[in-house]
Amino acid sequence: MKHNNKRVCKIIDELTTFLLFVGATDININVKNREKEYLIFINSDFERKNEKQIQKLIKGITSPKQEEIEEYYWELTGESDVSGEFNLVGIMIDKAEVKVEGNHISIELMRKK
Amino acid sequence: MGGLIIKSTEAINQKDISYNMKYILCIIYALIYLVLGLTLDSPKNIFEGMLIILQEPSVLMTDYIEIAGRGAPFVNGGIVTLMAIGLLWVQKIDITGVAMATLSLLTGFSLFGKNILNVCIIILGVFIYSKIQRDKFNKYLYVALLGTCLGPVFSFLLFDTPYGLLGRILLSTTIGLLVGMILPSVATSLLKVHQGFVLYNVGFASGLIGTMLLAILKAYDIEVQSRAIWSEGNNLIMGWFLFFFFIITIVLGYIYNGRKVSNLKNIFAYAGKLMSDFVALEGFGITLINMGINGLLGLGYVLLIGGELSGPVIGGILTMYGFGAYGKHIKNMLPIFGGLLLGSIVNAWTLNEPGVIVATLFATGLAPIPGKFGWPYGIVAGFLTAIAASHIGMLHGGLNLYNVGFTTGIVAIFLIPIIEAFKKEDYYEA
Repeated sequence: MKHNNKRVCKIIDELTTFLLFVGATDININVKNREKEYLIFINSDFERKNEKQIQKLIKGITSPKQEEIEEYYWELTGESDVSGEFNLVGIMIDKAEVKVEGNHISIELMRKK
Repeated sequence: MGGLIIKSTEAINQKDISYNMKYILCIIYALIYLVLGLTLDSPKNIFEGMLIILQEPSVLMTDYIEIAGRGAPFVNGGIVTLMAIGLLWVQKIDITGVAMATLSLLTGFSLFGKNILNVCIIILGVFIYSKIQRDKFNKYLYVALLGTCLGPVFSFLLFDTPYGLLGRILLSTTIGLLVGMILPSVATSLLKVHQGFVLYNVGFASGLIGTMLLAILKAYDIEVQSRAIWSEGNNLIMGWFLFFFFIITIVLGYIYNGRKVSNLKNIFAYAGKLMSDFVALEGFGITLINMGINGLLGLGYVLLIGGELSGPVIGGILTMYGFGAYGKHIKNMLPIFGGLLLGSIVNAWTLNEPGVIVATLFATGLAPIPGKFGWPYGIVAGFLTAIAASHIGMLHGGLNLYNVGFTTGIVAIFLIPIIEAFKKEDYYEA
């Protein structure tokens, strides 16, 4: 698969853009580049009034991986700053875990190489 | 929402239908069109009609119903759709919204340009590309299936160029395979240009390839003669058939959706931008209901304005129907229709002209624009698409069947930056 690193960067771009728009003031991103997979950890706060948007994010990034769609659409990830492509993030990752406590969200993503 | 933990393995995806059942329904869908074709004409006429279809250059606008009778085009459509289902099955691809949109598109365009011969060469070209990339073919299958809109490139070079048989076979096969091999990279890169606001992205890419190809052919004195072959007099049979087909889709969706329609508003809440896969996001049942409604809207519109249900028009209606699983709904499509209505009010065109009807139905590929930015922009997008479609067709000479798809791409890359420039800085919606 080509552009593996770029795909990870685009996933981070998409999620960072979203978090800034839902009022994040403190975003921590940690990426582990391992032999067989990438691990992405994102911890952020958000404004409570945007809980509906957070639900949309969860719905999108926890959707099942679909290789056959990723290859065609991956370049779209992180391209728009007027709307989110969370469903696209979902199809690009193998495992997602989202925790929401109060106004804090932590996202753990795993993408196989 | 306090203390909420969601894992992808526990994600709430509506499992309202099994993997195999979706395939069974898709096969039934294809068989409906195959059987329809078999009942509309005699076996002899269908066989002769199929031979005519296979030997047609198939450049826009060649209505197979007009040149091959009523039966053969639907048989062709049924077989092409079954071939695509077979490929999806072999590649172990789950049927989601994009698959349903792709299959409907194949059925529709098999009435005017795609046939069991010319789709194979494009698919084979994409397959070779996947092997060159040392990658799995299933990753490129959707581009391959959607890219069959360039089938006329193969048909035209094989049946309508002034060379000997061997020369035509070599030329058509080589160019056909090359087109399939370059399509995936062009299609993927173009997504960034319009940010997913064009639902017919492969049409946009194919338009560019078709334009380059036409220029090359002209350099070698090969002229592509675009056509305007339309059938008439199908309204009674096809009107009733499509009406019942869409109603059955809605009823089936109602059953799979737990005998409710209340979640239809969830679908209407989406702007429809790529990727809005309604099957993955909202479930199979409610998606079928939305598809049926879209089909009825397209059919009702054509009949209301006194249009003819020709092959291309039926193709347009089926495209609206299919994309009811992948971005289109009545709320984001109506402003596009408004743009066409505006055009007729200011005397830019007559609504029931065949070309205008086709442009109207396919212009709904820009439905994400009103879905995201509001109805006034949808009116502008619809108006501009219809105005541009007839002129843009000249660029590729009809070699790209998704002419309006190409047009919507051009309209989008012109319109989106303007819209965004006048939106306030922090305009964002998840």
